[in-house]
Amino acid sequence: MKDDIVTTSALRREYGDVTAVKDIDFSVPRGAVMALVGPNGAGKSTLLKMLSAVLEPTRGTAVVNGVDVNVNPRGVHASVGFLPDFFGLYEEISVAEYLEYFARAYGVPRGLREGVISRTLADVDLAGKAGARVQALSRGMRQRLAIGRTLLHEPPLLLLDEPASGLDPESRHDLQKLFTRLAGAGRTLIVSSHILTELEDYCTHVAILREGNLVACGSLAEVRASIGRKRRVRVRAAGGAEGALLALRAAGLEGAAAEGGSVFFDFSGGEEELPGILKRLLDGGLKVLHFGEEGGGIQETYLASLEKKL
Amino acid sequence: MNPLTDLFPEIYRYRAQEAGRVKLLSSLAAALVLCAALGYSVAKTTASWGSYLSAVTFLQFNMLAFYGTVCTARCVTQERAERTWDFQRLTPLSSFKIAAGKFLGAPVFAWFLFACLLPAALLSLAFSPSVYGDFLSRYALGLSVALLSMAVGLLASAYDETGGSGMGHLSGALVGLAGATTLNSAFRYADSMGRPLPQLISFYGLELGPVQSVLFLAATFLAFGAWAFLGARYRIGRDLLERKRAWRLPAFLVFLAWYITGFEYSAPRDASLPLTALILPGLAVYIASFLSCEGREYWRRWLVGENPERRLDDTPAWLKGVVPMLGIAAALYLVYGLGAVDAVKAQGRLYLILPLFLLRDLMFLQWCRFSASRRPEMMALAYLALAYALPLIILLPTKMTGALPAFVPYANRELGAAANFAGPLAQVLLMGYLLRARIKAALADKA
Repeated sequence: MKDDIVTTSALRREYGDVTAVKDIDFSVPRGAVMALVGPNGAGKSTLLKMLSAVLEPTRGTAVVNGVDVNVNPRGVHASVGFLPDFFGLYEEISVAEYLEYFARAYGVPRGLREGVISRTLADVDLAGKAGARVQALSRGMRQRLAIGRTLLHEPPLLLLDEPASGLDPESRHDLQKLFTRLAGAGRTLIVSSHILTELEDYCTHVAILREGNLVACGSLAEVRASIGRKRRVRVRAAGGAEGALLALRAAGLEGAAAEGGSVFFDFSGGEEELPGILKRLLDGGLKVLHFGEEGGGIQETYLASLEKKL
Repeated sequence: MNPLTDLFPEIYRYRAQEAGRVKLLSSLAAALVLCAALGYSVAKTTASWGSYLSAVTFLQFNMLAFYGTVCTARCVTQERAERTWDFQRLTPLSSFKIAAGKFLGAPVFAWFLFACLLPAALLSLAFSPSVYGDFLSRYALGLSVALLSMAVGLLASAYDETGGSGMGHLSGALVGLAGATTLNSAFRYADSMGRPLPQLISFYGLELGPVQSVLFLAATFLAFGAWAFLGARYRIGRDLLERKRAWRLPAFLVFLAWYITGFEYSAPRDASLPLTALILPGLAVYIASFLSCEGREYWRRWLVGENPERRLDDTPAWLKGVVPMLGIAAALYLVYGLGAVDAVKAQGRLYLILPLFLLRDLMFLQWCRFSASRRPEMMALAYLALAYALPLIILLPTKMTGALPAFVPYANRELGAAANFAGPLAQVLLMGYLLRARIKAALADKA
């Protein structure tokens, strides 16, 4: 598709006798925030390395921002900001010197350099640490500095491999805010992570990998549909579960069942049908306190995908 | 400095990393104290500006050759070990800019120390203009050896895949020691020019004078330094997935053979044929092939590659080495083997026998790389050592020397040409057949 920033075709990578990524075909729309999920050894890091053109595919190809990774890997480097899962920083220099070095390496013109560095420091909330030595930074700050490095040349695509790994909750929260800001600024992000609940707040798409295979890929709703998972809706109403149960059954949802003070029903219809059901409940005089989807996020979808045969 | 650091950002980083104000001031003070102490001891002994210059340049260049080499020899190794290498690979910096940046930037502190001692050397020149000849020859040789040593350090670092292990760190010190040894030999050589019987250089029959000999030596060090730098750049370029150039290794081999032949040409021997011009490039092919690590994956990509130009550039290193070696052997045979006197005519067969053994060994190396061995290079080395040692251990004590040409590169004068060639040729054909089967199996494996 014209507005896909990443398109792969039968992308494959082998390490000796082990096939880490098996003939994957997928695409990522420009501006999307994609969660790349899967267990350890699923091939997430290998896939991200191939997309950032630091690792050659054994077979197949990937086109990133219009550039083929096999034909012009150096051209791909200009379009991506890649944060690997394990990385090091130059410890003995200051934060500003670190960014200055990479700004020079990325060819940022001398006149613009100071502004680019200040903006990047502000973007990653490190403006107050410009003079600090890199070795004195906390883990969360180091992670943000490394992300700042990926932003210096303003790439349209960011590939982040386990960016929240090993961070404390506060640092993870900061990182989450940063990703939300980046997504808001129109960048395309592909984020691999194990902390699935945190991805839900800002991811628009999901790709599930298992044993090097792509199990599912697309928007969350598409993926959920592709793995045949129904949505579970919870209703809580004033006056207990009994009234809500009757109202739902009257609305045609025979499968509704009470659990504790709430009533649950499985729903496989389209997104636009849910407001209609709520309206019918309200029109029937039910005082609805809560009406919403339960556990339809990335984590549940991913767990459901594990049941799907490869 | 700004345009240079803009062009090679690595210099900016190394300067920020290595050249803190306290470090610079304390080293400057230490250099001043050292120069004063040297001056005092020379004044109390020989009281000659020539001796002072020798002492200062000895310190200056040994420090540069050793410490500078240690710095360049750890620059890429350290990046790989500390996982900063991927970030560098993603920048638009070319392999030339990265290699040159590291070459110039990593020893930035060694260059600073060098500069601190420079005024002392200039002082001796100012007070005693008669030492200017010594000054120029020492600086020409010192700088060229130091650059060569640092380039070899960079080459070792670029090829070091041990991830910063002890061996990786040791290589810097070893190359540095070799650099310092070469430097002091070069200084001794330069000193010999002032003696009644100087050791002058004769190259392709051209008799060089004292000054030309020193300049020739300096140019030689610079030329080999440039080749080492190109080798490092090539390896860095491989990590950047840059396009490689097929001509570099063959061109180096031809240059090496041409260079060595220059000396052999000037010193013809009646009792034997000159073989160094074949043996040293052969050794270079061995080293390049063992370092290249082109295994199954590489071959698969290379064989199925669609772009013919790129396939030529990606030709495995041992193939790129063996082909020019055959050409070099043929040229040397035409020059030396054809017109050789009867006494050494049989030796001329070595010009063909040596490349055959080289081809056999490198095919075996590649065969090992298709095996399940985790260290195919070590496996190949061990078996090849046995393949050369066992026949000698068995055949020499039993006086069956007639069978030696079949197993080791040796031309038996009592045997005909066919009998001398039969053994190595049969092994090459057998190894070629086995390798072909391995390649076919590997390709069919995952088809």
